[in-house]
Amino acid sequence: MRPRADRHSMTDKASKLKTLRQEIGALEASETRFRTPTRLELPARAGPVSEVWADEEGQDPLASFRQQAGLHEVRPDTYLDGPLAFAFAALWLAGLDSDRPVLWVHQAGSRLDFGGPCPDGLMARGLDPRRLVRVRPRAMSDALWAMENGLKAGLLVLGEAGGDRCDLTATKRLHQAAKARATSLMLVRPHDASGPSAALTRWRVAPQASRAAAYRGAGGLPGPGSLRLRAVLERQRGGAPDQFELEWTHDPFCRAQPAPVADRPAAPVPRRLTG
Amino acid sequence: MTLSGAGGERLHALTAHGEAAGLTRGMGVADARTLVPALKAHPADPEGDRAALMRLARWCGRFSPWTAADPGEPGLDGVLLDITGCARVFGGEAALMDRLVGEVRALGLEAHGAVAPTLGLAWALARFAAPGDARGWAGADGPRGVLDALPVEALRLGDMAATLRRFGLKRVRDLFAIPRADLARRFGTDPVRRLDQAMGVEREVLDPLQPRADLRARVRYGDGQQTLDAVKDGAARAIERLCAELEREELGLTRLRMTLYRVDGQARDLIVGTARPSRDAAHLVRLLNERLDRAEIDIGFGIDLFEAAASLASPLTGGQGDFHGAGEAEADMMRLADQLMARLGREAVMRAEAGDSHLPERAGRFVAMDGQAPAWPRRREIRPLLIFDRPEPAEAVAEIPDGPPRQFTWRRIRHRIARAEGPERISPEWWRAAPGSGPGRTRDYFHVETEDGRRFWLYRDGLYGREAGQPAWFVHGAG
Repeated sequence: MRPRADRHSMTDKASKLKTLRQEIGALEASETRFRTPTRLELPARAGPVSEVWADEEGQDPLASFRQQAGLHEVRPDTYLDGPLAFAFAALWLAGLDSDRPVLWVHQAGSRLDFGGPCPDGLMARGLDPRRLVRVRPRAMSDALWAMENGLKAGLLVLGEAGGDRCDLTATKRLHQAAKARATSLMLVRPHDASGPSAALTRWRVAPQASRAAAYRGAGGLPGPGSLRLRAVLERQRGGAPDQFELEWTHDPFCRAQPAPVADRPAAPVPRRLTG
Repeated sequence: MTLSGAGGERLHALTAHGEAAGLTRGMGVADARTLVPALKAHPADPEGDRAALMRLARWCGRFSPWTAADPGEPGLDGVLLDITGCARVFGGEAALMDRLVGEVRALGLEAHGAVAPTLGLAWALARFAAPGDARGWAGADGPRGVLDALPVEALRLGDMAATLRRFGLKRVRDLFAIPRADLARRFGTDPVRRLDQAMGVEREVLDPLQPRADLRARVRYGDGQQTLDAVKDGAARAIERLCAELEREELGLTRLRMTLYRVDGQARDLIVGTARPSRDAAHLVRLLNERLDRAEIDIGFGIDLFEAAASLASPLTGGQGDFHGAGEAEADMMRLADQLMARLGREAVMRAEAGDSHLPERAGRFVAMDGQAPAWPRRREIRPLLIFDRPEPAEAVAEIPDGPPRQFTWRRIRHRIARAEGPERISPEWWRAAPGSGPGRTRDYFHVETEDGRRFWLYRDGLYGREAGQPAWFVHGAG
């Protein structure tokens, strides 16, 4: 009697495993292709101006990537570009137009220590500081644990993985946790990070000189314009590498201009206006 | 009974026989002896009386958990009981009162009782209506018609009652006839307040003898739980019971104390806090398990008693979120914050708080997570995305000492500045200066972009030539 019951449960288990494998296969197949980029819409809600990336045509070329729930990664081009990678990650989440809280996890004293979020700076760029929860764990394992639990609670997460503990297994866990709650994790990695990762997209960002502002800044130098950068899409799941020149634009109406007007060279600024 | 006071020994309390013989309270003992030569006088013991009354109040705990001693003039001592919800156990109010008065009399005391919807009315009825009642107690459903006929002494006014009598106000109905404003002007607010309390217009609550204990729940096992999983299981069951209690009382806890009693008599406390009141058993169990995993508890020969107590609790009514689920995201955030704090410590989990200051490190601080922050103010100053916890020193070169920088060295790399904006001058807050140290120095902030396109936020600490020492440069933010 007993052996027969065992054999019965064995076949049961095998068939269950088979159906589970099929389900996983179906899930993985569905995310192999990206949707085509769609045009940006103007932010309709009041409150902080929701800022967006714009390329030369005023479109947000990252929109299609940003909409995907899951794990995304960014690393700076060189060590000194660390702040830029954090800025890219923060603005990536700020523009998601979601009311979800944002968990900002950064390890105390890690290689990627470029300061914490500046609440007033985030407020001006469309992320209400009230949405922010800042966590400073001491160990990498605690940081990963905090990120995973943040994702499980449905928060957007900005994380930093300076150590070696963030391997394929860890990134897989994070990605699954994010996908289960349809939320996103933007992970900042060191500039020399290598090794496999389960991220949907992996970016490398390098700074670019901004277009000078139309007024004279301090000491006779031109004033700094909008933040510009080059974002290289090093890897994407089911897609080819790509690269983008991006400018962070503050003005929600810039895309309302007709293209010929927007593209013509800037008119010379009258001298008396600039002093 | 006598008590020594001004003018020698005076009568403090009398028996019915004494009163019948014409003795009154306050009469000198010598005078009393001339009236009643056979007077038996003993010194009174007010302390002992009070202690006896407390014992009686505690004894009355068998009728209601809410009892309080109500000391008064001799012969007017009482015990207050809140019998809300208790009467049905004894078969109705009448049965309860019969039994209460009967049992107190069986103790050898002369007692009368009263049941009324307000404390003031019950007090009055027990002293002025019940002695004339064959049952030994009086009852009233409301003050209407009952209170009118009682003497003014029934209003718990003390000496004021005598004053009222002198004005011819003998019954409570006489007071009702006078406009409230006049009454208050002539006799102070006391009579008005006591009337309101008796009528139930003003709330009066009984201050119970036994303070309300923490809500707690216990789970006991025949033999000790010896593995960590078994301990977690026991703790979870205690928490579930506690949460059921909290649900019944419409409370939520903000601090949970779990006491683990070992078989050999040792006990260990674990404390878990939440950012906002909660009675979500699953959530609390998760928080506690986090602590159990890290606390390295010595289980010894096993843990046989789990006690979960809500050591801090506050009212929490039906926990339904906002209409469009906005509360849901916030609740998620709070639950997560509890979990993070349980593992990483309170100081590692923070939220932003706006400070009323121009100094960047004070304008946006990070404080321990404790509920939702108020709305963030809109400020016009431009701030970077990242800010250092403490400004990092840099070596900068400027064309003129009080001008903007041309290049600077930070983290051992030299940066040449291509674009700059500033200065934004921020003065030190002299009212915050620590005693002994200077008030701090004026800062000139610049947003700069290097030739490579990297953006920094740096400042010069101190005005050249006007504030002491050489100005120093610091990088305070980036991005």
